[in-house]
Amino acid sequence: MLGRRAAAVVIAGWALFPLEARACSVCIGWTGGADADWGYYWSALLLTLLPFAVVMVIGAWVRRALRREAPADASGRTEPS
Amino acid sequence: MSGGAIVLEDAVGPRGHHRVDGAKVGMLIFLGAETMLFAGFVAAFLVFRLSAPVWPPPLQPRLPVGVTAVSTAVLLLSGYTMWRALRAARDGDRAGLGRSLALTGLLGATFLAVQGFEWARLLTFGLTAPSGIYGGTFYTLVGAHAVHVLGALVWLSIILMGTRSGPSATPNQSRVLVFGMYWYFVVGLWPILYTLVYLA
Repeated sequence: MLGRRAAAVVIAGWALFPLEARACSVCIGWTGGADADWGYYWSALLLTLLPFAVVMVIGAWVRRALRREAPADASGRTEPS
Repeated sequence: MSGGAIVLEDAVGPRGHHRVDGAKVGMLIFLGAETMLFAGFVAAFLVFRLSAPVWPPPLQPRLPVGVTAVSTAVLLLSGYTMWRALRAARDGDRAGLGRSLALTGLLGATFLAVQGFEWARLLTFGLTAPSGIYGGTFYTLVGAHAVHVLGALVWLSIILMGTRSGPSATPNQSRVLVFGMYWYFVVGLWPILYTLVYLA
């Protein structure tokens, strides 16, 4: 069990290591700035993670609103719309 | 469903229904889409910015950092006046709401006017959208934000007209709340864009 966990940590660490994860499909023969692959790396990371963050924020907001309403329901009060 | 409020079934059991304001959920989803739109612009900017050997490119005008910092402060101040407007709407203070919304609009219009003036100057210096990546990314990012501020000002003027000529004694709180969400988004987005485009 411990070995599997350690292997998972190693694999995750390797996969998330920026130098390994850096990739630029259009940088072959690139003559521009040296940070081009970083640009692709950060923009890909932003666009990959942001939709999850957006959905989580909306979900958390709805959940919080429902929780706020729950005590009002329990006391038989309804909120005017 | 009634009066702009959606009713979501309680997942736990038959105890009843919970109400969540549909207008707010709709605005949240819309703002999520807007976030992705601007994330796309920012991602494109990052790629171009970090790929360029020299930024800003040679022979291109420098952006007006100082003046834009002042207009950034003006826009942030409008966030405060919007907060006051929301508080007035919650308290049913019609006069306070009208005053705070008008001030918010005035500050937003000032921000937009200063931005427009600076763009006019940059255009005379040769920084146009087709002039290169620098101008293209600048006008796309900052212009898209300006269009959003303009849209918010139009919306705000409609709400203001409603608060001044509406038949009800108390303002429509939900409408002001949803507008407030949009205004906070527009205000909160700008410092990120300012840091990226002007300072980075």
